[in-house]
Amino acid sequence: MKTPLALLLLLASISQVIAADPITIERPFARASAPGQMVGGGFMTIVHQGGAEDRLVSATTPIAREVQIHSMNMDGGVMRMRQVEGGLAIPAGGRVALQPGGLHLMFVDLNAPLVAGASFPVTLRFAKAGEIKVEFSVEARPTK
Amino acid sequence: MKSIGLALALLASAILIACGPPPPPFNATEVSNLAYGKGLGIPDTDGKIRRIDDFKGKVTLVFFGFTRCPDICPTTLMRLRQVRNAVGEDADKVQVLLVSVDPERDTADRLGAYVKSFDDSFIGLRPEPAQLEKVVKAFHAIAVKVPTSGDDYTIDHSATIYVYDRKNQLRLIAQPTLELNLFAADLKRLTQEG
Repeated sequence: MKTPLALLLLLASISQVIAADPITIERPFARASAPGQMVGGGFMTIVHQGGAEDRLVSATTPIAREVQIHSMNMDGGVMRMRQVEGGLAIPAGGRVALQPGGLHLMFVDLNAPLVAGASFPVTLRFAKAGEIKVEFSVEARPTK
Repeated sequence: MKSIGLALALLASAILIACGPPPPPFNATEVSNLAYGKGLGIPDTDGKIRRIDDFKGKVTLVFFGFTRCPDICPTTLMRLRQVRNAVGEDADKVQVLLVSVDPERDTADRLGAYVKSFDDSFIGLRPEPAQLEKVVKAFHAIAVKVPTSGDDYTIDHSATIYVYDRKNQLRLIAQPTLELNLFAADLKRLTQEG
């Protein structure tokens, strides 16, 4: 039974190379959570080399109850955070950066604290590209 | 005409000598005679009621936040720790207070652990849920619940930092983006006032 599985994996990886994913994810990371902090922010850059607009529709991770896609902006000294409705548009040939101070994934109700140096899987679901599994690394909060 | 000009010049220099040059402006926005938060008592995470006036002799920074805020609140807390440290030997004259805008979910234990994890000197204030609106208004601030998916919600809130001098007067209003060294210079100046 071992051989067919290995063969299947090999075939899968070959097909991935042939139908090169138009969407790639650069530097996925989260910040270590503080004690008492039940949510975490996830950051990454989505690079889209395909010819048609795609959308990041949803995401899941085993480390949190829910993943939400948020925008955040400062408006006249007020922090406003919004769930991105209908998914996050990823323009053809474009890059969308989710970074501190702006767009982010929000991991809601963490099952365990996010510890610096650890990593965890996140499954991103795109309207066209389908599921992309990414490993987020947890970075320490900058201290001084 | 010449002598009048000379007299004016002398007068002007006399005034300058008497008053000295005006102090340079602060980097944050200077305010005066604003009674924001005055007289307000808010429980800390140990249940003790705290008022701005309790912090006489300290430069007190007040801002709003909540523990389910993934980005700006932890970033501001980290920065305030850095700013406080950059004040140097007078750092212990700087007190940071985080007022929760989400007392329903920020239990005292959770808020306390959260705030102390950034800096042991920081104090978390947790208004009673019924008191929250009054507290927010007392700072002319904003805190509005915004629904997200399911029964979940987030809170739009003022990210402004209110800075009180050692006599508990509101002196500066700072944005969380104010550059670390500029912010620290302002605080250092305030710690050196009487």
